[in-house]
Amino acid sequence: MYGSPGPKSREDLMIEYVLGELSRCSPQEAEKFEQLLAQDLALKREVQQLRKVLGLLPYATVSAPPKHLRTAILDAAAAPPRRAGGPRISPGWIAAVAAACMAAVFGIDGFRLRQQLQAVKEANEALQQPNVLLQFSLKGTGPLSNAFGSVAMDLDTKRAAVAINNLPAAPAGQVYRLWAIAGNKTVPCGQFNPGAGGKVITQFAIPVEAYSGPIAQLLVTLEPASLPAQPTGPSLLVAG
Amino acid sequence: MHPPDSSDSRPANLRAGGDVELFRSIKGGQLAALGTLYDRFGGLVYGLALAILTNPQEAEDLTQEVFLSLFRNCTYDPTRGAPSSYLITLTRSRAIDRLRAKGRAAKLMQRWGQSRVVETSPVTPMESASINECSQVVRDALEKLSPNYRRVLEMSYFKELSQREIAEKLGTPLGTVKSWVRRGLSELKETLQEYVG
Repeated sequence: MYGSPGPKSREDLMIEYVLGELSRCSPQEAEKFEQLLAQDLALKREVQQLRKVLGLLPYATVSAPPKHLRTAILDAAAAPPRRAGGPRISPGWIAAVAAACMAAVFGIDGFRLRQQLQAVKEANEALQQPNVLLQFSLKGTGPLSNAFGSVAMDLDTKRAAVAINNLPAAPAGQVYRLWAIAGNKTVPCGQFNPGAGGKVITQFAIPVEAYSGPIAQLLVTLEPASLPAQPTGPSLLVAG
Repeated sequence: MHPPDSSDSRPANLRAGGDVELFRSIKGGQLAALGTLYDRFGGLVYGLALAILTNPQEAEDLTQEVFLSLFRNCTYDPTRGAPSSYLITLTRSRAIDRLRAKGRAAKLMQRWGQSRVVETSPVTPMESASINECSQVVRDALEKLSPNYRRVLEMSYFKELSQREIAEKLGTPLGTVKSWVRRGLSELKETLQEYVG
């Protein structure tokens, strides 16, 4: 009655993307659309304009709060804070703590530490507008023990940014794939291949709705380009 | 009036001017600064919370939560954008979280509670007076839209419903809803062209 799924026009995809429903309902389509966006400046500009239009909507809701609210807020602010759910931490703290942990646990030297911090910074920068940010440090295992990097996840806009160093080129017909172990599921989050010098800096939509619990671990595996729904290769980098 | 989202080549710290100073004072624990910030942005935060939650008491609670979180642990970074945009992002995100927590996505949202970090998005700042002016401009623009266009845009933005969910709620074919969204956005963009670049 309400319509059946069919091929979507470019305009449909753009509107779904701008509304955020493409990322929520179809992360893979969102990822493809982002690849298109990266190549099409006119489309990118159109998306930016529509986002700005939507971003104006809250101004139509401006409404005088009840008079007592100001006093209530100032009184509460003057009272000692209740600590619940642990302190909130800033991305800068996350980066510093993650890097310090890496240094302590893996004995990273100063140069590696600086590189690690740079990877964190790049992941943050790749997510241009983070609203709700989780940050993970990736560490290579086995043959990829020199690889390391960082993943930032913006749960509000449902996007992830990945920055990795020292990642060898994937064999022909294979791609690196990021997985999140969340709840009892292993959820594919996105795929990538390193550029020159074994470096990855990329971002993509992530299927936040598919995470049935907190993210316990992130994995990177090598997978066939057919992208199987579950990991088939060994964990090459891990976080968490 | 400053267009709230237009490009501005000046550094964010210069653009944001007094608001940035205000946030600095809040980080320093100055209650008076919190009062000033509330006077400047309280209507924006409360109005948005009310539009999303539709319950005045819950909107009050959320407004209090937003301003207290600013006072106790302000993560606002002026280099990332305007205070008004930061507050909109923070309020909308938390309001939709609350909305979802009451519905089918309760479990989904609860699990992020401990590890969230909220930042702002880079847009042009707006002083208190221009918030009111901008409010009127956007209201006028929405008034010009067909009621159906306006309703679907509001359901999408304030409730974060998909077009399919909107179609189901309204008992309207999906194609019609998509058409209303498309035309609504297009007309709104045209009316607000001056402010979206």
